[in-house]
Amino acid sequence: MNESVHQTARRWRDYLGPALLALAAIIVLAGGDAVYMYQLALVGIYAIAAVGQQWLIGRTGQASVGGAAFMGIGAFTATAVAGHAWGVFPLPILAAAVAGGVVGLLLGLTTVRLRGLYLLLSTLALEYIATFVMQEYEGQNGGEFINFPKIGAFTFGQGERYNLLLIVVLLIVVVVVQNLYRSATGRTWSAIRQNEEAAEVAGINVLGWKLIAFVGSSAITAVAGAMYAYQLQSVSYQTFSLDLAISILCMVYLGGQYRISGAILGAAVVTLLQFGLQQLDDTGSGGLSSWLTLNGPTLDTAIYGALLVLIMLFEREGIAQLLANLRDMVAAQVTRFRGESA
Amino acid sequence: MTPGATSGDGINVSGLSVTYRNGATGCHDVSFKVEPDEILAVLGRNGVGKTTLLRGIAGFRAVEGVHVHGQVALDGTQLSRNPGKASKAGVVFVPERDKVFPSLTVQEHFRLVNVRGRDAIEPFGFPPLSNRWTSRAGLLSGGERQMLALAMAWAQHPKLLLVDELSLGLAPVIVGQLLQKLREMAERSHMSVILVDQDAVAALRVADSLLVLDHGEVVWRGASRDTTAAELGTHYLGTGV
Amino acid sequence: MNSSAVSTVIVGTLTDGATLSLIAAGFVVIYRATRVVTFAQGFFMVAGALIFVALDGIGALGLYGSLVIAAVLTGVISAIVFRGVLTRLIGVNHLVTTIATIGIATAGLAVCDIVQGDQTMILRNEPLGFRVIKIAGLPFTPIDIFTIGLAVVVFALLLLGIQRTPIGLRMRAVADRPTLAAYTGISTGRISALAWGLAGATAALAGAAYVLTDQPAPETVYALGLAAFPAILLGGFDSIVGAIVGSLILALIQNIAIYNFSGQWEDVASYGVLLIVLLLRPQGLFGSSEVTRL
Repeated sequence: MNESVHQTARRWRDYLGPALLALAAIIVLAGGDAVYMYQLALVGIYAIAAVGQQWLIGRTGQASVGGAAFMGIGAFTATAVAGHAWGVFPLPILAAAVAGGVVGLLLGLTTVRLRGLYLLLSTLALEYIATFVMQEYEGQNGGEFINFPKIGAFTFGQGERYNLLLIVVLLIVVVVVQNLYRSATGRTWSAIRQNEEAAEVAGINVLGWKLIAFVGSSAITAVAGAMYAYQLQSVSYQTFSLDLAISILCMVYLGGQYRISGAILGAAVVTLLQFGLQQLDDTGSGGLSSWLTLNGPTLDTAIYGALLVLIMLFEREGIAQLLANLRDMVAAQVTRFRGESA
Repeated sequence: MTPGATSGDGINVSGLSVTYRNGATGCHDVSFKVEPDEILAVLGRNGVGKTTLLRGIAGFRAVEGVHVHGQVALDGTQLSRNPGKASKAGVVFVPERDKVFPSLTVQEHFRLVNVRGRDAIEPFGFPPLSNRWTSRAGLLSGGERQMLALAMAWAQHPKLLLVDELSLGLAPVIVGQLLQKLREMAERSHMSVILVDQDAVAALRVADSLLVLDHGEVVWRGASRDTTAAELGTHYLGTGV
Repeated sequence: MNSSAVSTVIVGTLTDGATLSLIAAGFVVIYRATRVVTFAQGFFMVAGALIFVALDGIGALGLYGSLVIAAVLTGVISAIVFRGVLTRLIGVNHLVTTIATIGIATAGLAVCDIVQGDQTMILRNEPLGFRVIKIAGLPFTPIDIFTIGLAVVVFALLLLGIQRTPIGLRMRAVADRPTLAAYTGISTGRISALAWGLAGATAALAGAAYVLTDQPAPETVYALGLAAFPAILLGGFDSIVGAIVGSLILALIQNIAIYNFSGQWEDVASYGVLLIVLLLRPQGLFGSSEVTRL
């Protein structure tokens, strides 16, 4: 039977998600050295953060560099809660989500009248103010530590176990967000992104829905922060800098601001760039190798900065769109092939 | 009216089509000629593509989502799509809105087009402008602004002057004065004028020939003396003048 | 506060205000000419500082020569960035262009970091010395006077240039009504490139001034570039006078905060100001109402 290109492509897309997830699980279980596992963990953590931020930035169209601030809030909250005897897993994560959500609500309420670039600037302010608060807190309480999450006697320790937990958390987040997007409420946020005034006129409670997006997005990003805390086992305000915020922004735009797969893709690209450069370094020789060791992280930053510019210039829907175009092209070929051989 | 008294073949538009990327058509396959000294009025209801036509001739900047096809020739030379170059070639466009610089003074407007001193604009006796020489254009009345826009346009020595909706928001008396000035300008410097206006009556008084647009296409063309506002009103403009 | 504290705060306000105003003025010139909200001024500061230090290291040009050349070169870089990237984004929404400037700043800063290596930026020698000069009873160092003087000269040239020269007139026309300017035969592309060039130059001067005062790492210089945003917002995106006033007010608040609390409070104070301005009066003190329609 001949399928249309669309149908073929869509079938592939529906299988793609689960396939990738299975692939991810296999990669994690295959194991590798500590650095490799750590890089994978970072990808997972940033993927959660990117999915969270994308809800606000991509889907609802509210520009923000608040990613780092919310991760920080989540990390510090989780650490504080885990420090108590009653703070057993998964309480720290839930507490982080709540904290993130509350601050997100505050941010939303304060900036409700602001649009576009003004909103972006106010999230810039949030970043500095949050950093300050974290710095003060750290000054008062010294560095706090958090142990890997455990249920009963089972610890999700460094490496495979932690990474599998991470995949589970990511999965939960993705499933929740995806279902939200596919429902009517998902379209509401898209409508707000496209034209707030028109949405208002059409009877949508723009303020209410925006606030929900702020709360949800911030909660998820805070969860990413909590997972980050578990990974690092201790957090400092310096981790959650503007640099981090901008790299999360880059992840969202690079990967594809309108698709969940884009957020995950963006997180992977930005995080693994550095890892890839390191691999290059290990196989390289002498001069180049030592230059890369010294400059790897900065070169990575230069690359994703440049990529961001290229994406803005040429494909504003990010790498995910480029891949989708590729998939469509291949699907078209396959369909034609099938048609010819029928 | 003495056509051909000086240089120039006037303007020759052939097959001009302007489409927007979203599929909307501005105007479609419009062709006409305007001689030096001649005033052509382009009439039609709102939104039929009159402004798009003018802007297509004046040269669109490379704005996203606009396609311009067809040829526009001034004195035999093709015009480019660049408004800067078009103005150097002698095409001056007076837009409907934003026709003056609100924060610049009247004097600065003229300096912008290389006119020093008030005397240079005297030939057309725009006395109100002389009186407001150091006022910012944003503070001028509607009529004064239109006058300033016309004076500034004329100071650029156009071979073709495009005026979009001159009469909008102005009292009929002022409109009449401005159109009279336009007539004098055209005859004085042998320039061609294309005038787009909603006010068919006023346009007919000053124009030599007419072009009526509907849905982006030419539906009537001819000399102004061959018709009346009433006729046009009923058949094409949807107005009962 | 005792009187010596007051003097310190006043001097700090004037000096920091001078540096900030150079950055802010560049931003305003860009915004007026091209309607772009740029995050790249910080990057041009760093680039300018690097070039300045390099030229100073070569030693052939002297302090002022190195300064001028660094400013010109950075201006050229800025104009090229504009032509290469921003012109392709004309007509696209503002957020996209701003994100592009963030990308440019990120990449550019990283490149500067790599070029600079591990070191902070240090001048070959201390060209201005450290003795305290008292003016009106206030204790200025030579660098303070230099920075303030630099800002005064730049602003005098800028404001005179914009008000009195033909090209300044054309810049004002483009800032006012860009499409009409194009129809009047003004080459808006060239004017815009000039605007970006000027902004790059003033940013470079600010960066150089910072290097003269301190021995900063590139990130610190860039952070100062971002710190100008509260000043810009306070003054109003499209007012050069606003840039000056906003910078002075912000510098005052910063210096008071540092004096009363500690260095950590500087950022919070600045961004607190930013938030308050955003919430109460987004167009700032001198900005036009058009600015709020971003």
